[in-house]
Amino acid sequence: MTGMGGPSGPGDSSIVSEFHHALAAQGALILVLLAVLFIGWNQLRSMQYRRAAARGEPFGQASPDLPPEPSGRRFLRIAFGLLWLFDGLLQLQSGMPLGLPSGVIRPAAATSPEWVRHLVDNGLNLWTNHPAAAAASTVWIQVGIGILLLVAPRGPWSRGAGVVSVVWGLVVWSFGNAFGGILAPGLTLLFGAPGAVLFYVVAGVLVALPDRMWVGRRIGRLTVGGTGVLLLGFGVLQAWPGRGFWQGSIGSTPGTLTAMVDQMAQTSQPSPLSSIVSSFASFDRSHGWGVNLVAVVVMLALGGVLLAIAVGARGDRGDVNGSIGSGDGAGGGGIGGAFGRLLDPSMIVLAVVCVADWVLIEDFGFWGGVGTDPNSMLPFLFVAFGGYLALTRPSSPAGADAAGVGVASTPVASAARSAEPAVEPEATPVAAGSSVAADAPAPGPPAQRSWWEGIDSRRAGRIAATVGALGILLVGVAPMAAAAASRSADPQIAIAEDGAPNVTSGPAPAFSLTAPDGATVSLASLRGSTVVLTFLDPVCTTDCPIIAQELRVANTLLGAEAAKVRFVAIVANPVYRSTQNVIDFNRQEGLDAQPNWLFLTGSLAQLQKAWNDYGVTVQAAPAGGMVAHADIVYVIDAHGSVRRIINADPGSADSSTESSFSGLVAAQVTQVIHQ
Amino acid sequence: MSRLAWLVVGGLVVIAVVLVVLLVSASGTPTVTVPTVPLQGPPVPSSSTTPALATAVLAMGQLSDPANTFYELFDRPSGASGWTLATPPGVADNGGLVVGPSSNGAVTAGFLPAADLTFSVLATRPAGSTQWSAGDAPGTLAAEPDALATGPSGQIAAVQSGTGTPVEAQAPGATSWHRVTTAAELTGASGGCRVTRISSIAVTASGVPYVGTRCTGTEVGIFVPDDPSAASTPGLTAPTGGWARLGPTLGASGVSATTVLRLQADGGGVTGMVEGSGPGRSSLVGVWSATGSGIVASSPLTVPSGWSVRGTATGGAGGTGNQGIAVLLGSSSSSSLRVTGVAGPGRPWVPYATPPAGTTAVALVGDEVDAFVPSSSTLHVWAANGTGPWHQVAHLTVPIQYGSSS
Repeated sequence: MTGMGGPSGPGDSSIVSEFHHALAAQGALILVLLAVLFIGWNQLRSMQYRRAAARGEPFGQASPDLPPEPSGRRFLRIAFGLLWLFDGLLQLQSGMPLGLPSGVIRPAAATSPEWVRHLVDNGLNLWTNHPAAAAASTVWIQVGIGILLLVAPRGPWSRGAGVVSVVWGLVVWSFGNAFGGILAPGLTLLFGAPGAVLFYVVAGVLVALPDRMWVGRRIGRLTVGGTGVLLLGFGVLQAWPGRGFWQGSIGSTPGTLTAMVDQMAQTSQPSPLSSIVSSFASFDRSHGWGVNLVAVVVMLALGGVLLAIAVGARGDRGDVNGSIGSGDGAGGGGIGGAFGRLLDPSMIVLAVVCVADWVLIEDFGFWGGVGTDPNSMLPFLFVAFGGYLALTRPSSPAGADAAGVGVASTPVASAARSAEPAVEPEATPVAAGSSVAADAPAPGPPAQRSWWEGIDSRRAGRIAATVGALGILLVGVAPMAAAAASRSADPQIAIAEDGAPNVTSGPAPAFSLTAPDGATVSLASLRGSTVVLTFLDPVCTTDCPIIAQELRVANTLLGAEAAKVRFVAIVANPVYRSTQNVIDFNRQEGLDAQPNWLFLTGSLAQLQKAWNDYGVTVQAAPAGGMVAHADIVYVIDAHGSVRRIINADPGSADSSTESSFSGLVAAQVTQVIHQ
Repeated sequence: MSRLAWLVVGGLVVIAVVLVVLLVSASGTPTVTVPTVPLQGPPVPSSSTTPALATAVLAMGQLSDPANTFYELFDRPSGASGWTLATPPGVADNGGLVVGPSSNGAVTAGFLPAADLTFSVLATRPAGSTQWSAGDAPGTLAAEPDALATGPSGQIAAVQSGTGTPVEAQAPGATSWHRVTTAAELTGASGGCRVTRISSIAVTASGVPYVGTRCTGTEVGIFVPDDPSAASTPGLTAPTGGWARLGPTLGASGVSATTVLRLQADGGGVTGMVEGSGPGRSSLVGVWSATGSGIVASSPLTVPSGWSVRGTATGGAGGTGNQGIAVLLGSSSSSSLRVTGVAGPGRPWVPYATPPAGTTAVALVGDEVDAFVPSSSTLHVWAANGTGPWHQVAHLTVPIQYGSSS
């Protein structure tokens, strides 16, 4: 009956339950994978011990230490690894499957241009059609990326982690963040522009760069300079008149920033935090001009100084002993020209401003049950600090070479390569002889060693951890790809809307009615086919056309099985029940061309008997109302037994529930056919 | 990077790209797409009074929500003291109702498309009855107050929407429809006006069809069969002799198009209302025609700038000769309303007293003009005699079922 169902909300228990089940199943798979990896690692160590003992060699010697990872890269890798991990854990929130599109993604795109909203809507189809699978996949993808960044410090796997971070970051930034709102009005760095995930992407790019790129201060200069440019650009935008930032309020209407902060204060969160943010909103309402002035001055000043430092350091080629902030720009590799000495204070000011903005304006970014990340200020600060480290603690060329760039014959390079996780056997075994203890037996002819004997404990652990991280990542990617390839939405959406199909068994009441071509059709005449039976009002304005289309799509989803199925509708209108009404409806819905579709009508007595037999109440409403009737689908097997009763109320009738219902019907019909 | 590492990283990138492509295109996924047609918007509230019956259609319910806006038909048989709810059942009428009363009291009502219903259906009621019967429309009715007409023998004529806005007719008791005319055919007979659409149809008490159109230029498109006596068949067949335009021509300066807003059968022919429009201006003219004769037009009523037609009425004058017309005008910048009427050929436009606030429709019944003031499910009816003051005469509670169309 119209309005029987209600739209699903973020707390819908069946979808949340499916989400939790998916997480549990995938988590179990991951645990198995990790257990296998641990056992493999342990087995390897045992085999190495036994082999070493058999040879009388000491066991457990570590490979020479790796050359140090550039400080900036190390910081970015760990910081963004932790951020991805944190974001993945945020995706565990129960409100994610149903709440993310309506609570986060669509609002983020609401003020963007039409083409952005269109793109986001298209991207959202996967999520809204498969909310539980998509939400669970996102958890593992982000946890996987985070762990991969954390456990793979050097070499191709580490750079690969950067690439994966970039790819997923771009997906999230475009589809989930509507490009960080950069195409929407009200754009401001203070509230999250150009999108938190864009900083993840930048960090991913930096991590993915070859080691030789980290030699010297080039990365630092670019990053610090880029930070400066970003601050300058957004400072100018913040100062631009007419955007509502200079006013705390305009009459009773809050100014742009006040409204943003007010909105954040209303998010569900611990009351002390809400109180702090509300207080700042009140302060901004009263002193909007002053607050914006401070914001503009800080952004422009910091941006100018950081840009000047980056430009001033242009001649520096990366003397690792260089001092920072000497200001003389000569000898010793001093950087930043006259502004060099302002680098440390600038970074301190930037950190203070970012944290203040993060707390007072962005309100930590992740409260409310569907927060997906800690918003932009932390990742922005992390990128800037990574640049600072790259500028002040540049990597040496030797370190880069040692990490596998250019030199292959030195012991250091060999050791470095050995430390990189690699699956294939290495052509040259580890140069273990160089680290053999002094009281070891005199070397004889080189013993034949298997490739795995050269893998030390630390390296083996890294390999295991990296494979584990990749496994977690794939556990996330695989079901999402499967969901994307699916031809209909998750049937659980329809079940959440209307309840699970009633599995039953009993003889279907007989009927004998008239087809549009005048032929008499009875249930008995359909014996041998599985019958999908429903009741439709041919002049209905809402539910019936939707149900008809859902059944049309279900027929398509059945593929070859559709030949064994007859879709039958019986008129559910006591007034408009003529053959012409049925013909007009079939034409309207494009069902006149579907060979296994039958829309039957008859005398009022015949119809009433069918309605009564199938428990369908049909009632004409007064005063221009639509005829009310139950929206229900019976699946009757080839022998004339009712096997499924499915509530067909379209409810919220969005594309996901419609597609889901089609998928549900097709699945149930398939089951009945094969029973 | 080692070859294997490149392969793995490359594989991940490929997976991500595939994911993005699938996200964007979702190609091959059958989608549930419910066919829709662009809604025409309901016609302005209108009323008609024939010798046997007065009818009025107006919107009620929650007017800000299309799914909870219902168009209600009220009728008042000749001699009855008040209006009663007469909306035909069986179809949601959120898209609008079109009513074609016959001079003898029979009524045909047509449901306009709404939401996912893209075709129209009819309901018919014989003279003196309150029971409706379901009927089929030839397609989608035009959203015009007089897109339906019922002849004295029960024949029905309907103006359809869409290309050519054809007029289809159904003989009494028949179930099939046949073409009577199209806009293109009338253009050939227009003699000066270019017909852009057919806007109204009337069938006189003697069975002669009158067709009103929208024309570019100053010529008014009111057409009759070239030989009316030969055309007055119960089946309303297409006239073998073609169509003749009766006119008239609007002399007011600045008129670039004319539209026959109303066309209703009266005692001896038809009564109508024509709008002449041009850039930034609009005027109304009453028109009358006795069967077999030409058109008589009233003086023009200039619609003030910033005002528009909110409702129309035909009737009054006892129903035995020519009828009067009335128009409800509303200001776009305020809630101000005016009602002005003309009692018949050769009579001047006369302003009535300012109608009650919230009036959405008016009706002419005998010497009385009624104003309808809906408020959700309640209808307040006010009446004025001639140009006298308004007084409330009734209020009706309509059993609207909110949410029944959503």
